Amino acid sequence: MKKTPVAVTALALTLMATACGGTGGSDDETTLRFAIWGSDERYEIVQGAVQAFMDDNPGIQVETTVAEYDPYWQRMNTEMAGGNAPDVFLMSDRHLREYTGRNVVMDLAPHVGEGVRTDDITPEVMGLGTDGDHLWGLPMSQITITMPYNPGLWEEAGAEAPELGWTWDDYLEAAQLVSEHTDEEIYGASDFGGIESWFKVYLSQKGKSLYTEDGELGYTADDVVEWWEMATEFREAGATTPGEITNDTTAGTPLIQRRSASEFTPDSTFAPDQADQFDGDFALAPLPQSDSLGLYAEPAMLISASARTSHEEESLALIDYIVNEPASAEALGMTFGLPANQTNREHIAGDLEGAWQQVYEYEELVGPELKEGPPAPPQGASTLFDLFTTYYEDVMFDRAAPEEQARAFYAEAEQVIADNQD
Amino acid sequence: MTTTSTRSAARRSRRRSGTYGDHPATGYLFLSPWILGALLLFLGPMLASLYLSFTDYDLFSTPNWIGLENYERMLTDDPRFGNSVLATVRFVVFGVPIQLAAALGVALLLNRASRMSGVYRSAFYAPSLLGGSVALALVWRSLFTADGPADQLSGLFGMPSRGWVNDPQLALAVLVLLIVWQFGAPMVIFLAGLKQIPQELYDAAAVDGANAWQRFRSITVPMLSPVIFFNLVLNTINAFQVFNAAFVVSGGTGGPSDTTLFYTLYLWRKGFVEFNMGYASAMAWVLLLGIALVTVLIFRSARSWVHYAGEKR
Repeated sequence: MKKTPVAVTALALTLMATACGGTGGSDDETTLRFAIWGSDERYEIVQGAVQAFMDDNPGIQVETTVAEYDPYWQRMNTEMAGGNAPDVFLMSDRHLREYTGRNVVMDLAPHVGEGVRTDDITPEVMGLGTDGDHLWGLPMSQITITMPYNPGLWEEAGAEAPELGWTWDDYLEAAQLVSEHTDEEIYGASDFGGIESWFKVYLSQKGKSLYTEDGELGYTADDVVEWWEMATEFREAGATTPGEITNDTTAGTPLIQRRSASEFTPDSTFAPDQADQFDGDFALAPLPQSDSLGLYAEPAMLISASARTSHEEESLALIDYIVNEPASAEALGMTFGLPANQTNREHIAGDLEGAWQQVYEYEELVGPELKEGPPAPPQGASTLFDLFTTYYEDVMFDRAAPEEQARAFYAEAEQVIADNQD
Repeated sequence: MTTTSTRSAARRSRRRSGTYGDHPATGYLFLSPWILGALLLFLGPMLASLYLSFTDYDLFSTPNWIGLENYERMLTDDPRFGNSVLATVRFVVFGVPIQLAAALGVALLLNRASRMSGVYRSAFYAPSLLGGSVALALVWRSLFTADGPADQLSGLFGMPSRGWVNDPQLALAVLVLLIVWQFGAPMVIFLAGLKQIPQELYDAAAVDGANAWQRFRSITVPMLSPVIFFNLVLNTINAFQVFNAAFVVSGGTGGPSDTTLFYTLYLWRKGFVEFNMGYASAMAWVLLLGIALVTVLIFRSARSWVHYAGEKR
């Protein structure tokens, strides 16, 4: 009897512990967790597709969560490590190997043809998710990099309109004119030096790539020096935004904040009413080029499933539905870029409006020039993406010379790649 | 007589101790929440992190023993580690003394009897209650962002800027100001200390013709030195561990140019962004040792400037 209190406490603790671990609901309803990154607008659009899926699949509930890109990955990393990842989630190219290398992403290959359809998907965008015999996710869409700008303002400033084949020198000249015209109230361009994605295009223009097929760095320190020296030339000429403006992205990029008249971005980042935000003074142009255009046809992202999901069949059904079902394509429009599914692409083409129509036209314009997307970057790529920005910050705030920073970055980049290879 | 009473006392005490001795479980039962908490939430994870600090643990795979490699790299081959130490030390060196000075200053003002002093005390204490909250850091960020109130104010004085948080020279100052503003907790402790100083000392000094500054310098400061010491130790330890504010204000990056990359922020990035939990664990232990060392140094220095009432010099 004397031991009773201890026994009771132990029992109570056990009950409490198990109560926390219980999975609620013993009925037929399955609840899937689906995580996406992006804006609230994109969330609303995706909810449309998810609702269509739930209507067509009674008995499956889908809980969609949304976060901005950086917080999304911060949360995903913790959830993956804790073993409670969402069932279905969006996967970026630079995080893909980090996760597949750690066996937390479901291989879709065994299910192709049985539950997951890939026949109608554009081959150009299948490369990223394909890894030998494995398939780590379906491409959501096809995107490429573009340059939104304010054509009205450019014309006012006497700058030449960008067109296919224009060069970096042309860009420098035009952006400078815009900055001078507005007395540096609005700069001609947002500083592009610190974003690895634009550097990737620059490398591609010179026939190089960020990473080789074997996951080694595909460029040299000299390439980084060249890129950062060019960006510095732009900034010092007053063509691009100074550090404080470039760094201030809480209320949107410099273009959104009207502190710059052009910048680079994936063409999947627009909402239909984007042009309205600029009072109609909004157009999309190809990037300036050096030896060649260098743009890729890439999937914006993959849609993947967790290897540890307890709802495998339902997760596969959701993935297939989002990518292949016309109802989903109608709801999604161009929010992720051109639909990966060819039939859907033609299916929605007629109904587009606003910026989505512009994106479609842009894809048609550059489409014939696009290269097939590069292979998935190796483990460590997401770290390097961040480091690229961090190292450039010292350059854009004039705290270090481009050359010195470029070489310091490259040394660390080599180490990160080496560390991740064991 | 004496023996009887001793014996009965012994019996009584035996019986008393016996009452508890028969049920040690009861004692442990009441202690169990603390014991469980200490073991599960504190000691266990600490030992685990000590072990992980000697491995290449990446959150997913089985950790491999790599000896001192993490520690070696940290000290010899990681420039950003140096940046993070520098940012943190700067923050502590500027933030803590200014915060304590503000706390002492306000405590001195509040120590004067006034009808409203209760209200003021609460008002000044309020920011500390909000302390490390994320909401507060968000507000702080928007105060110091481009075209925010701080910018407009500095613009009035002919110092145009484009957001303190976006300027590598000012970003750290924003965080220092945030910690200084949260002076409430040390202030309350100072206030209690001030009330302990005997009024006679001031009266006697006034009779001898000492002015306010002399009284402050020769009575308040020495009499208050144990309290200053206590606040200094506590707030230094806290300042070394600031995370929320830096995370929110820089959006988790520690930017611009790593100027707000506090130690804890870099530690978190290594563990949860770069998947290098072994390295992050090693960093945690170095931080613990670093804080211990600084605390020991403060304790050492205390001998020369902390005076306890009634103590012979």
